[in-house]
Amino acid sequence: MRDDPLTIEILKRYQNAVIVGCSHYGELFNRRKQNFRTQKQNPTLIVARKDNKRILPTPGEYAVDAKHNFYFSHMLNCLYDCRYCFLQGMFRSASHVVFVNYSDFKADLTRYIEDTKDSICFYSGYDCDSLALDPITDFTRNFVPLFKPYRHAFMELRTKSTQIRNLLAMEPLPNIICAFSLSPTEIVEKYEAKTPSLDARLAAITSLRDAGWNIALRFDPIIFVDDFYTVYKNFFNHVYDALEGRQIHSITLGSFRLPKTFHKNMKRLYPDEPLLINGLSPINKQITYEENLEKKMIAWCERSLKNLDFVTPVYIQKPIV
Amino acid sequence: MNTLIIALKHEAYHVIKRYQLTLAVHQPFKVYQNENLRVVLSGVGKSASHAATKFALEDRNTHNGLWINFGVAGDRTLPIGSLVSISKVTENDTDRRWYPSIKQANKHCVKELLTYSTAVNQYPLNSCCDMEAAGFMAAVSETICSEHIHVLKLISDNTSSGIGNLTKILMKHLVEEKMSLIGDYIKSAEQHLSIEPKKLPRNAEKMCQEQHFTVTQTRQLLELYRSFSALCPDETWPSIKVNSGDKASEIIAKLRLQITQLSPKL
Repeated sequence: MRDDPLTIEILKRYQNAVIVGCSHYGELFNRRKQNFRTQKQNPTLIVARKDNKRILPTPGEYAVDAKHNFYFSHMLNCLYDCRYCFLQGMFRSASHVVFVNYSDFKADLTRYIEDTKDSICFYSGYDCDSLALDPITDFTRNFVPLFKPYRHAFMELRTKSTQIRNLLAMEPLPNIICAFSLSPTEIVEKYEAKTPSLDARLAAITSLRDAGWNIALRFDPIIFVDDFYTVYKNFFNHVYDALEGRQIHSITLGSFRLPKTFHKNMKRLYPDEPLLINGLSPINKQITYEENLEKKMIAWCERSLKNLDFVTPVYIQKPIV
Repeated sequence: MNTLIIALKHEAYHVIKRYQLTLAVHQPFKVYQNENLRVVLSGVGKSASHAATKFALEDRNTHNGLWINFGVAGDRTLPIGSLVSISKVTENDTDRRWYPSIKQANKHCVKELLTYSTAVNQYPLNSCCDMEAAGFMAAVSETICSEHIHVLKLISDNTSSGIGNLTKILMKHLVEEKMSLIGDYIKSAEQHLSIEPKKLPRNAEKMCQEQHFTVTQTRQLLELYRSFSALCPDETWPSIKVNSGDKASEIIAKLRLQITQLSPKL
């Protein structure tokens, strides 16, 4: 591990860091009695190998339009500190884990791709932000070219980041989808700590689109706020004004929702956070907005988006019921 | 309340003096304390350290504070008197490992540590060595949040001046010299403690005393209180009418209904 070229590159960037050896990342990352909130103030970077289960099927609601859908994570956790993020409830630790055995990931991806002739999509931003640490992990430079020979294989890079320099330096591929999570400025400022502003994300989107990359918009989670209609109406208008008619690959819409156990953990971490209580109720194994509220919010958002853009397909990410 | 587990009185002497701690418990372990800090004297060895830590953990009110194993340690190369924040503790006999929290600063260094069952003359290559830290870590890690746990060691012997030269007077003297740094370390570590859970307001506490609330019901009440104060930070709680004959379950149901009604409408 220490001799892996990527490990060496990463360590070069943190020359004053204290390096502590461990035999498996789980010794630190998965131990009991950790406080995610406290660790988030000063997270540790864990450089590790992922020895198994590198590629996993997506949860049912996560996919867009491919026949086979999988996700993989070259990182666990995220630089950003979004109050609604399920990672806070899923992981015991806020440490950033970077898996450096890219060759194993790439071998697995190739095997999955070559095993089918149907459309197959890999999501890379489920347990992390796909691009936020790209200058350090070199994720895109390593993984994007792998998809070039395969027309039926797609990869979604899901991000809030503006770290697009590596992508701009590459030849754009039609089967790579740069999916940006967007929220109204009011929500970015209140709930998406440490993330780039909405306008910075929109600028990254237009640069990538102009360079020929596929762009997708992810309005997920839609969050109930005071003056919801005005806030989201202005937001959708602002996004489409910035896009100036540029073509979009797809849109997904999803209301704020969490698995019950994650919600419980998050409430314990942030007992005073109204977002984790306001209007939420349990539906089977999930916590989400009360049914009527959720339906009205999503239906209104879908109508508003269709009014602005009747071409791009809109996919609704529903709570699991 | 912060807790320091220290093996010997000579190591603890200047801590007790500086923080004006008084003897509060004699048996089974001596405990010196004031309002914010207590020192538990464990005795030498990892079993003693484990037992003293277990004993100290019985006071649940201290679980939100820092837990520090402090004491002297040996190292092959570090100068005598160096203060070391330990990043990894390995029990030499079993190879069990723990990872205490560390603080980085110019005035102390960060290093790994091996805990031995007996005093050693052959210092390990890249680690400090002691006889207590593994016992402390084994006990404290089961109960306390990892961010609250520290192992802080003061180098008392090395290859130039072996353990044979370590006297009670030298031990006291080394601690005295570093007291200011030890105090700074504790202050700095305190800044990264987890947020303490909100306590019930006085009127709710009174309610718990007047009606019989089980432990689970008290937890449910605290949960409801947190929800209410998050949604209505400016309102006084509880604004429901509680009759003297109401059972705890009825009070909880009334409060839950009230909080549910706060839900937003489109």
